Amino acid sequence: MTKACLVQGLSKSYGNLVALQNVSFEINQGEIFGLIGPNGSGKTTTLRILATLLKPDQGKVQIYDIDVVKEPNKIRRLISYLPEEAGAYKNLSGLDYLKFIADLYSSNQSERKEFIDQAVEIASLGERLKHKVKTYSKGMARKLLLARALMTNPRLAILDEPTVGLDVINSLEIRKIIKQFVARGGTVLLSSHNMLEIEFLSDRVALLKQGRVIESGVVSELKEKYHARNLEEIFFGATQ
Amino acid sequence: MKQIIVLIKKEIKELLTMTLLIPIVIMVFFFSFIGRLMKGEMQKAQKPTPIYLIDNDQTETSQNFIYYLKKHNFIVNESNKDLKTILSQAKIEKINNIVVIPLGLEAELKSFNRPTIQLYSLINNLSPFDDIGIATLRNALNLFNDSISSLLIRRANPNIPIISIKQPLQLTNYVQIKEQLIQADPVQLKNAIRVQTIFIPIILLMVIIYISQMIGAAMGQEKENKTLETLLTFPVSRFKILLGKMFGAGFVAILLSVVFIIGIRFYLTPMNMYSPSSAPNLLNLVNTAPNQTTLYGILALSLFLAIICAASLATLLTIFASDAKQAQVIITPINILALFPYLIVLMSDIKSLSPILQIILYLNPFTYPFIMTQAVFFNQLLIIIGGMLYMVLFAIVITLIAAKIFSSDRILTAKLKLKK
Repeated sequence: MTKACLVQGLSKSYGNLVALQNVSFEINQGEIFGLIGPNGSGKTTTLRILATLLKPDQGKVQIYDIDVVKEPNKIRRLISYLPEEAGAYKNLSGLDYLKFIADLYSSNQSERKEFIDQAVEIASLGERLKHKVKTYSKGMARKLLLARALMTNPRLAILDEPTVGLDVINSLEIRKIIKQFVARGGTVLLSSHNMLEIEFLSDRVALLKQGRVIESGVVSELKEKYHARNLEEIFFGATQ
Repeated sequence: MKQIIVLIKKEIKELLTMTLLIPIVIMVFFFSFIGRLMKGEMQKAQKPTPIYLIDNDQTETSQNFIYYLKKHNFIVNESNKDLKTILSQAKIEKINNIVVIPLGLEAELKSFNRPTIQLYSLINNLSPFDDIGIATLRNALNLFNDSISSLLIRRANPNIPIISIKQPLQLTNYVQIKEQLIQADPVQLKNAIRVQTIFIPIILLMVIIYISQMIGAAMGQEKENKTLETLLTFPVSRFKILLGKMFGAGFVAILLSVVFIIGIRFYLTPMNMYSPSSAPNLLNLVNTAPNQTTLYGILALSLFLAIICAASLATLLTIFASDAKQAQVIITPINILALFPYLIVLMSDIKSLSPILQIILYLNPFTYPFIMTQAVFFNQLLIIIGGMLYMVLFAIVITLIAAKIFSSDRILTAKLKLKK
């Protein structure tokens, strides 16, 4: 099976604060891999290293066999990152924002059109796409940002808390979009502290606590191992 | 290149909002309105001014004086009534000046007794334009005085030229510029040079202030709107992102400055306060004077480089700003840096300053556009070429430092540290 991502012995500190310690996991192509853990467990730091925003202190990180530290520019062509607290340019319309992204990623007009059409379909905001982003509700803005993240057909989509702060309806729609993206052949690395969401979406998971991976594997196998009914009980069992 | 253009377009769209444009457009209309208002007042002041005149002498000399007044754009209302009545009448008719010619004017003049012409002025408001009338009246009186003086001199010394008695000494002023000696008034010549580039300091200060603000806004908003983290993961080099910001903000800053300068022109033009076209006549005497194309070409290049320096410095300073407000505070030193050489150059010659102050000024890239006019006129190649090269070097080094920081973890971890 093709490896979309390989993380080995990853460590990162901010001064005296140790954020990650010897973190390792692998993501297979075509799967949704969930990183779960409480706030401050190191999820965002891991995602930021994979997204080329931070450099690790130690360890190896490869995406499709390309080293993230050595060749960040190549990695940025393969991935798409949706941060937890992301925003869009408020004075642009939703459509202008998507066009801006398409202009940056596309190499010709037909590819640009393809990206924009795909984004419009994913965002499903209709006429509201012509309005300025500053008039959008939180749910609308998140859908626009998810459309931005997936429109360029990234080989690995890194999504940090994609449904955080959203109501039930918007959360369901976002999850549906993520599932559809994987069904089309995409690979997703998802982080959340909402374990039920991860359980619903992910094929495999890694449980992070205080910067360490305390458990990882297929959700059904982990349930069996810990005699648990859901991920929350697995997490409880693994931390005991 | 395509990506830089895309980024520049995005910056312009983000920055050029109605909130930014409306106050600028209002300001242009305001300047235009004030300019027209002032023009109207000046035209009003230049119209023939009505005055009251009581001629108690009724001689050829008094009639000559009245003729002088009419020649100087006064509508002379002669009256035989007493002064008190005329003062009340003038108040009602809004005539501000009353001239009283004394009885015996001609006789007193002939006997060298210095007769007195009385001028009564009414103050109804504090408008400076009302003073133009009284100044013209005094001028007419002085000319009449001079004419009588000449007449008296001629009568007493018919064989001597009047000018030889009135101005027995003559002054001819010579000015040396580089190797050339020309006959000219140094003050007028300096003014002729200055007026050529009167707008340079205003343009420069305006653009530097605007560009710092725009870059501050561009960088600050990126953090405030939480778009920076995403932007940094796009397949675009950090250097290109910075260039996009610098040029996008630079375009908006130049646009705003142009609009602002048009506003000032609207304000000044009706009053004829800006007329560089009158200066070249005097400059034609100077062999080393550069032609307009060379002068403006060099000034435009130095302005452009100063703008790039301001943009790079603003980018470097605002990298760590957490929001637009903080960015606006951080850029304040740039405005001071631009204002400092302007004030120094305005008041003194850099070469007359202490060596330390000179070094400080020459290290400041914003000094060069202010001294470039002088350098061009006096052919100071070291200042022209050295200054330009220094500005280029300054902008490159600062931009590279900014790009280096922008490419490092610090752009995000500095924010994280601040949070904790």
